[in-house]
Formats: sequence, structure tokens, C-alpha cells
Amino acid sequence: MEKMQNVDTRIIYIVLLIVLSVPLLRPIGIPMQISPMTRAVYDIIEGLNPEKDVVLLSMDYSPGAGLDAEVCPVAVVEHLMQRGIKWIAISFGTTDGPMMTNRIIADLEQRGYKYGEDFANLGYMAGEENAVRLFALDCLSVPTDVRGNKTSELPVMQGIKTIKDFAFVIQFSMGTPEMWIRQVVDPMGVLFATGTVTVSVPSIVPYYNSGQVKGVMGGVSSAAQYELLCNKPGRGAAMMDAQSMGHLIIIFFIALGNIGYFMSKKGKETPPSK
Amino acid sequence: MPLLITLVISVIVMLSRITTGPVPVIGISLPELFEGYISPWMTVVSAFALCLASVNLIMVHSGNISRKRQDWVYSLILLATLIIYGAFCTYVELNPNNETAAANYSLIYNYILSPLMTGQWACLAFYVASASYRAFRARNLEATVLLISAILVMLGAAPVGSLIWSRFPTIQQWLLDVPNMTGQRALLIGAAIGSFVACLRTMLGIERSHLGIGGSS
Amino acid sequence: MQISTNIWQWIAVACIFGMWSLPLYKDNPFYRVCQNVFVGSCAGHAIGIAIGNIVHYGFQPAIYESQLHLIIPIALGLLLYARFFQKIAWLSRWPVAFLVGVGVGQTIYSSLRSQILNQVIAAMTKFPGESIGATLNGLVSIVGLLAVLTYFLFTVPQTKFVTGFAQAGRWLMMVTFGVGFGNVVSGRLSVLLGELLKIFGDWLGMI
Repeated sequence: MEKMQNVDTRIIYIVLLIVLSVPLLRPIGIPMQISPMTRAVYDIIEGLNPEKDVVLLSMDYSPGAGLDAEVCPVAVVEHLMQRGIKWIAISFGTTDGPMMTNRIIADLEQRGYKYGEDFANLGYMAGEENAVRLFALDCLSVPTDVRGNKTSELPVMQGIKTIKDFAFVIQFSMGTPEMWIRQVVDPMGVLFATGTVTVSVPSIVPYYNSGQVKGVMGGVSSAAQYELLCNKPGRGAAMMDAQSMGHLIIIFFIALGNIGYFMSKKGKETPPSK
Repeated sequence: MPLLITLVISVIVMLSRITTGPVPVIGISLPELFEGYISPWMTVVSAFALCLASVNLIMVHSGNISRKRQDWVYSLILLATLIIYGAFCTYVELNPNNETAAANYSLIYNYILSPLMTGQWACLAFYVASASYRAFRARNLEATVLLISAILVMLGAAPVGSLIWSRFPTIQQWLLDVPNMTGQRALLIGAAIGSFVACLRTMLGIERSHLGIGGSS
Repeated sequence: MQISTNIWQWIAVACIFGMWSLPLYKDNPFYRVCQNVFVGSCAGHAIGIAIGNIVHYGFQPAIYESQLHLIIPIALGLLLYARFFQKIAWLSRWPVAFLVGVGVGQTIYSSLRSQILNQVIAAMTKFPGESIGATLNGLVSIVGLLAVLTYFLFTVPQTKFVTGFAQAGRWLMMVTFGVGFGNVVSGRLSVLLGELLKIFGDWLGMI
């Protein structure tokens, strides 16, 4: 029992790596259920008008969150392009946001979409909550985009003066959307949803329940569900089998650790026989 | 003087939300004062503040190198990388029309900085696994409740849970929507009340720790 | 299996393995190099973006659009760096006071509305609800909310009722933290899975 309690952690790490790798290489194909919060985002975008609606994406995540943060915006952008809806990206929460947007844009441009006409990247604006409010009041307060084009001259920005000219705003972040809710959603009544990492989902549920946030996408599982809704399985769906196995192995570790703990505790409590 | 700056600016920002008419002495309304002056000033000052940590880093590691402290070679590597990335990124920001430079910067960002950052964060999964085995013990009833909720959420969130028992996703959704939502809402309200009080104290100059004066009066 | 011939893919995987060498092996020079490159590159990137913002939002409008009032925030921003010089370190309090003033002004109004009032309004569920389930959920929500808030009330007399009610709040918080922990596990595994996907997919070409 003592040996079990003191096993080398590297063995645990290797077991974890093996358990996660096998389903990635040999997918099982376990069916998924769609959560209402993810479906809400899908329904909002399905209800938009490609002729006149423009969507604002606030890209506030960095590469540190890995695919947990990256798959959601990729899935949503894929849906927007599928429907022919134009979008603008801007970053307030992190200096890495514009580079994350550039990754998505690089792939879209390779597929023939036009920068400036179908989408644009306005870069990073310092000031966090203050910058959100300034942008909401005057979207042309951002003088140029990341490619040096004047914001007012971009075809996709025509007719956009304030945040209310956007049909839908969605923030992709690694935390909670408080700065948007406080500065834009409640004072100005904008249609807003959020995509975040799995870790932050429980903290956002009160905002979803109160109607301040109309939809929530939380990490890889939400992205996988979204890809299924769009009929375009991607990286999110590819990871779900391995995610399942990962959950099972963690539960196994917890159970094993507790069994060992209780048995060694019982061993210490039982007095030695004379 | 700094306390006066904090008071005046915070009052202007606060009142800019609820007033519309021009202020008698200034002749401009508070919303216009905020939108035209205070807010753009905040953007610029925040941008200067972004570099503060990096400048501090440069000073600390320069000291390590000049005094040849232990592991000064690593400080040299850090500074060299900082200068390369700083110079390259600055050039790209100031010359956005140069597509070649932007493409090259994307390469070093996507294939060096990004995997380093993600690799670092991925280590947390290893630590969660070892913590699950070694540290998460049901020592008392409260810890048991915590562990059981966590296990139910993990089983419900992953597709395999619905294969084991079809009710797991429903239980997970209920746990998220009712008890979790209630607890999170209470914590949110409590934290908001706390931050409101802290902001009021800062505005009135009772709290001065942000100015390095130390403690409150 | 088709191993990538792109040198950058190899560099990326080497960076990932460098970071993983600490938990999987032990502290080693390769890990230390990767760690320092990571910190240096993040700091350098932040400097580049910051300078871009200072020029685009500060110098360019001030010089080319005659918005001379922007000299004030530029001066305030430069004063932030006075903290590194002992004799004039006190000057750095002015820009800090400005930053804090704006933040405080934003927070006082907005947190009161969005995080207190709107959340309290949302907590007032219809009682009784449309079904027994909805009624029970509503009961748990409102009683639970009050119980958790009571747990943090330290300035009221701690009678038996208050202590008991606070204990109920504590139990609810255990469930909340359990849900949070479940999501943390899920999230951390996702990040690791993303890296494995890059290794097996982009580098080794096995997926």
C-alpha cells in the first residue's frame, strides 16, 4: 500500500500519454449530445442575414490555452463563411489576439476568401475595459487594421459606426466576459455570446441564466458539438474520444488513490496482534 | 495630488454614463469629455504600462549578466530572445504593409513562441493527473461531496459517459445549471459588492495601496 | 505515417518536448533554454505590440491629425518609467492614479448594474414554477443563493440559525467547486490533447 501511495509521478504521466494517444490514432466514434448553450450560438448565426449583417469577433485568447480556446473560433468562423456572413476581429484582452486571428485568416485566404471584403483584423487595442467602451462608442477610433489599411476605407467596415451596427458580437477568451457585459451588453443592449475555455464555463453560467449572454461555447466539447451541427467535423470532433478516455483515466486515478489511502489508513488504525 | 487625480477622473468617468448636458465651467458634456479625451488617453497610457513588466525583466536579467550570477547564460538567452522578438514585432507593427516581414514574424510566432506556451500549459494536465492520484482524498464528507460532483461532471461532459449510463449528461447539465449556477452567482454578487466597496474606498482616498503609500487611513 | 519535412514543424515539436522534459524527465539545460526563450519571446512580443499601440493611438494622431492633447497621455506614460529611478520615482504615482481612476470609475457604475442588480433580478425565479422540477430548481436556486451569501456574513450575530444556514451554503459551495474541478480536468486534458494532435498529426502524419 505504501508503494502504491509513493509511485513515481513519471509513470502516471506516461500512462496518461498512452491512454490519450491511442484513441487519437484509433478513433472510436462515440456519439455526442449537443448542449443547449452551444446550440444557442448556432441558432443565432443561422438567423443572421448574409446580405446586411456583420459580426464582431473579440479575439481575447492566447496560444497558451491551446486548442481548448482555438477550436471554438475556428468552428464559428467556418460557419460564418459557410453562410457568407462578413466579420471583423479585434482584440482587447491579450496582445496575442491578432496573431490568433491571422492564423484563421491565413487559412481562409488560401481557400480564396478576400481580406477586407469578407473579413478584417483590426489588431489589438490597449486599455481592456476602457478600450471596449471606446470601440463600442466609436468603431472608427481604431485608425488602421493590422495590414495598415485605414479602417474607414475597408469594404467590410462600411456602415459600421458604433457597436450597435454589428448584428452579433461574440468574444473568444480564456476567462469570463465581464468587461463586455459591463461596458456594452447591459448599457447598449447588444446581442452577445461568448466562447471560452472549458475551465471558465461554470463561472459564465449565471450570465447565461440571466440572459446577459445568449450562448456559451466552452472549449473542445462545445467546438466538437458545433462542428457536428455545421456538418463539418474538425479538430474538436477528432479529440472527443481521447477526451473521454482522459476523463476515465483521471477518475480511475482518483479512485485508486483513495482506495490506497483508505486501506493504508485502516492498516495504521488496526492495532498489531499480540 | 495623485489622490485628487484618482477622485476627479473616477467621478468624470462615472458621471459620463448618466449625464448628458454640458458642464458649466468646461462647456463640454462629460460623455464627450470621456469619449474625446479620457478614453483615448487611457489607451495610450495602458500601452505604456504594457512594457513595464518587460522593462523590469530587462533590468533584472541585465544585472544577472553584468554580475555573472549563477545561470547568467540563461539570462543572456532570455534577453537575446526578447530583443529579437521585440525588434521584429515592433518593425512589423510600424510597417504593416511589409507582407514578407509579417509572414516571417508569423513563422517565429507560430512555430516557436506558440508551441513553447502551449507546451508549458499542457504540463498542467500532467500535474492534474498526479494530483488526482496523490492529493485528491475524500478525507471528510465535504471533500467527498466535492469529488462526487467532479466525477459526475467528468462522466457527463465526455461522450463515453452517455454510453455508461444515459442519465450522466442530464445529471451533469443539472449540476451545472442549478447548484453550480447558484453558488457561482452568490460568489459573483459577493465579489461585485467587495469590488464596489474597494473602488469606493480608492476613489475617496481611504485606500492608497495602489500609490505605494501602504495600507489605508 | 508521413513525417513532416517542414523544418519549422520540427522546431515546434522540439519546443513542445523541451517544455515536457521537466515533468517527464527532470530539470535539464534544454528545458531551461526553452523556458527562457519562452519568457523572452512573450516579453518581446508585448513590447512590439505596445510600441505599435503607442504610435498608432498616440504619436500619429498627435502629429498628423493635430490632436495635441495626446501629448498629456504620452507624458503620463513616460512618467510610469520614473519608478526605475529612485530620485524621481514619486512621479510614477500620477499615471498610476490616472489608470486607477479610470478603472474605478468604470467599475463602480458597471459592476453595480451588471453583476449585482441584474444577477439579483435573475435570481428571482417564478415560484411555483411551470413544473415540479422547475419549482424545486427554483427553490434550490433562491435558498442556495441566500445560504452562500450568509456564509460570507461575518458581521451579524452567529446564532444557531445563521450558522446552520451558512453550513448549507458551504455544502452548496462544495458542489460548485466540484463542478469547477471537473471542468478544470477537462480543460487541462484538452490542452494536452491539442499538443498530441499536433505531434501525431502535423509532425508524424499519423492522423
